[in-house]
Parts: sequence; C-alpha cells; structure tokens
Amino acid sequence: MEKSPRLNFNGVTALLVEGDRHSVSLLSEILRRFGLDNQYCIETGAEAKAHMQRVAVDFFFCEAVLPDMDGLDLVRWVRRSAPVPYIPIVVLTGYSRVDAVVGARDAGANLVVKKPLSPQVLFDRLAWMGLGTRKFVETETYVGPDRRFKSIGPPDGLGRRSTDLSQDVGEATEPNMTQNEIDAMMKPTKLANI
Amino acid sequence: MSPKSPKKKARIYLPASTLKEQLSRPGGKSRDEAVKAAIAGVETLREKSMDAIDAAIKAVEAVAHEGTNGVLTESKLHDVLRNADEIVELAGTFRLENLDAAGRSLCDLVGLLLKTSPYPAEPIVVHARALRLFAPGRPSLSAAQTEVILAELARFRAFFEAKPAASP
Repeated sequence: MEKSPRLNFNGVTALLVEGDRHSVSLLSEILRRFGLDNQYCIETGAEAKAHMQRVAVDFFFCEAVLPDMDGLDLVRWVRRSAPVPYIPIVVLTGYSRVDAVVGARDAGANLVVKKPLSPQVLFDRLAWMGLGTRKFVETETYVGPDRRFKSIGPPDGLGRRSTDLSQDVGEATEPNMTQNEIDAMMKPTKLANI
Repeated sequence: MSPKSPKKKARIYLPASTLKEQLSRPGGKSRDEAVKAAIAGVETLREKSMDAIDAAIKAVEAVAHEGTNGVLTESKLHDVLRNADEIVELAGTFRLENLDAAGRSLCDLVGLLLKTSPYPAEPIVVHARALRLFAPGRPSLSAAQTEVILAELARFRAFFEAKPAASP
C-alpha cells in the first residue's frame, strides 16, 4: 500500500517569483490550500534578490522567464550568493520553455515543474524535497543539490508510478536459493550446434 | 604559458535544515486532503482565469493584425508566445481541451516560425481565429468541426516544419 505523507506547512515560508499575476495567483492558491500560508509573492528577479538578503524562506518557486532577467540566472545567484544557498528551488516553466529543464537542473534547481500546475504533482514534489535528504554540492562549475539519484531513488511511498515497488517486499514465500544454484544460473554454457 | 590556477576542490555536505522536522510535525494535511482543498481553491479562480484567457486571446489577435505587409517582427512573435503560454496554462488548469490544443499548436508554430525569416502573420491570424472559436463562453463546436479546425492548424505546423531554417 502506498504511504501518503502528511505535511504540516504551518510556519513554513515560500517565496514565489513570477512575472505573470494569473500564474502566481494559481500557485499561491494551491499552496495556501496545502496549508502554506506564509508566502511572499514577488514579480522581478531584482526584488527577489533584495528580499532574500533580508528574509530567509523555506521554499523558493521561480518562473523560468522573469520580466527583468532569466529565471535560471536568479537560481544561479541563489546558489552562489544568497545567505541560505541550499533552500529547495522549484523552477516553473510554460509549455514553450521545455528546453529550460536541462538549464534549470544545471543552474542548481531541485526540480522543474511544467505548467499547467497539478496540485497532485506539486504536493508530491514538495513532499519529496521537504522530507528527502539530499546532499549539496559546491564545485567551480556547479552549486546545487546532488544530481545523482541512481543508488537512492525517490523516498519510499513517493514513486512516480502506482506500480513502483515499495521497499516492503513482504515475507519470502519460498526457501532462498543456495549460492551454488545462483552460480549455476550465471555460468556461461556452450550452446549446442543446430 | 600562464600558470594554471589551483582547481577548487568539490565540497559535498548535508545542509543543516529544519524543514523536514517542520513538515513532519503532527497535524497538517494528507495528500488527498491537500489536493482536494487545492482543486477547490483553483476553482475559485475560474472566473478571473476566463477573463485572463480572453485578454490573452485578444492580445494574440492584436499582434496578428499588426503585421506590416503580412510580416511580423521577432519581438511580436515573442509577445504571441508569451500569451499562448498563458492560454495553455489556464486552459490546461481548467480542462478546456480544445483551447489547450490550439494554444499548444500556436506555441509550437511560433517556435518553428522563429527559425525562419521573414515571419509571416497569416498562420498567427488563423491560430487566433481558432483560439477565439474555442474560447470559453462560445457555442460549443461539434467533434467533426473541432477535428477540421485542429487539422488545419496541424497543416500550418507541418508546412513550417518542412521549411528549411533561415541561415544565421
């Protein structure tokens, strides 16, 4: 059975940087209904920089294209110059900016979410970022969350598909194979000539 | 040959954050509760969003008819793209499928037009008409009519997809 985490956003703060007021209204309303009431909505990258110098936030949402700058440049600035550089960053992209996905990842964003926003997707992503433990990497060319997922995968219960296996595989129903049986299965054998 | 500056060593660490503890405190909302509440919240913005769709379609229509000798500028195409993106976002949010399809078609088309030169206004005009036909509040079209309109939009995309890109 898939675990559904409860998230308590009471006291958690988010900064929403988005030039389009309808988009920001939708995002803000979804987050508010999740219980995330402490929001700062800002239109430009310059205002966002000034705000982040003064106030610490827990989540940072940023549109890929801002009225005064490229949103990905703002992400780079947060990672390299903001007082708290490791906050979870979600980059929002419109349909025509799918190419921003790779750029956002390389700029140091935790996630890219394509609009139109789905409350289900957004909740899952926030749970994944907020509850997961991800290391932070600082190099000359990249500052941001560790992008290597291969060995850990998403946190339990937050698989992308309903068919994803949970970590609980239940009791064994048959005796374990012996090492000899496993070795025999892996042993190269010559095929008979036909 | 200038001496190389010493390469900065990579630093990998677990950031100190209380976010996980904050989110895991008792109370809060389950996924189902949160999503249900969010869908209801989005619904309260429907009326405003329909007005925003109308404004975005009007903006596309205005740009389409601004062309000089049937030709648009690159900056005008970017205006169209911005408005088309907004239409796709709002149409997708409120499940206006045909409008969503026409909006996506316009985004794809502008992406193709930006690779050519000059930038013809006619395909934008046709897309603007389609957007208006699919706009909320308009009489609904039959499945056959919708299919014909979307097929016409696809023909424009196919034409510009086949057209060689302008040399830089």
